[in-house]
Amino acid sequence: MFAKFAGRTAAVLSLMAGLASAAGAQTQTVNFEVKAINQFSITSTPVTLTITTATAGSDPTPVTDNSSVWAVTTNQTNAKISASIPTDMPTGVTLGVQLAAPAGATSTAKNLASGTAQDLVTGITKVKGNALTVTYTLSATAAAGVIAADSRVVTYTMTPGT
Amino acid sequence: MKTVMRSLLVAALLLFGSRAVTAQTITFGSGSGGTFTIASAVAGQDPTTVSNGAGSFTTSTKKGDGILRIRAQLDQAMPANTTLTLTLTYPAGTSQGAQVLGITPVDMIVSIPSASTTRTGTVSYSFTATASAGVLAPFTRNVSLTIVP
Repeated sequence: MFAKFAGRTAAVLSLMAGLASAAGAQTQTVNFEVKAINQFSITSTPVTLTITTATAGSDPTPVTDNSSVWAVTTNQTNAKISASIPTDMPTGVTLGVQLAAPAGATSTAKNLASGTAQDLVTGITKVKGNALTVTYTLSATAAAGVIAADSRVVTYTMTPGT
Repeated sequence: MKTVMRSLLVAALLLFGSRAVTAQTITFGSGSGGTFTIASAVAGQDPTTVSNGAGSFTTSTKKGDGILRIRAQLDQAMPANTTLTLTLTYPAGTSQGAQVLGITPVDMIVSIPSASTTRTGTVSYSFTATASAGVLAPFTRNVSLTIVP
């Protein structure tokens, strides 16, 4: 009889303990989502490139500028940055640009032209990159002659990945 | 006679027990902690953290419960490179400040003095994700608050 009674008592106590435990805790549901993010910025300060010298027997000496920086954030895979200019450079003159790549991406120096945008950085994948250097290079052959001050607006485009 | 005695004993146990189970309780003001959607970033920085304002929770304690603490935990880990941070405010005890939640309970409020009273605190969350977290389809986590000695 005692065993039977003890069993019932234990059951009652167990039930009570269960109630006490449940009363001291509560749950709340939180919902999350991370959407595709592709953000890109580049210094908008104008850059001036002036060719003024040459080594005798060679084309005029190219000049470079690396005062500009760019930044990128993407949480997708294989985003890319490309660039173009609205009108071609004068004959015999080329404007090259190279963007330093963020971690894991690939950078390629390209000469800019109107029309088709040139891919400068590819394979940008789930990364952030800040203060990445932009290098412009202006080259001219002797045949280009003397060219009055001119300008081009370089348009950069970021193509999201997947 | 035996049956009467047995019933009396059980009744006495229940009465005694009901005093012992003056367990502290804790209740969220809402069953939902909100929806957190990360959708933007400053170029060069990780995606922008999203936070929500203060929800609420209420505790009911009894004198004799002893020194209590409020703990929090998730039902399952957050995805890689994301964190859920919880901040509670509470009119008693010592806040441990913002805490990153995981499947292991973390102390949120400690040294809560024993008192027969109901107290209300606030709940706020921050959700962060690095760029390497990638794109994440909607998912949920359950946050548990526990008040324990």
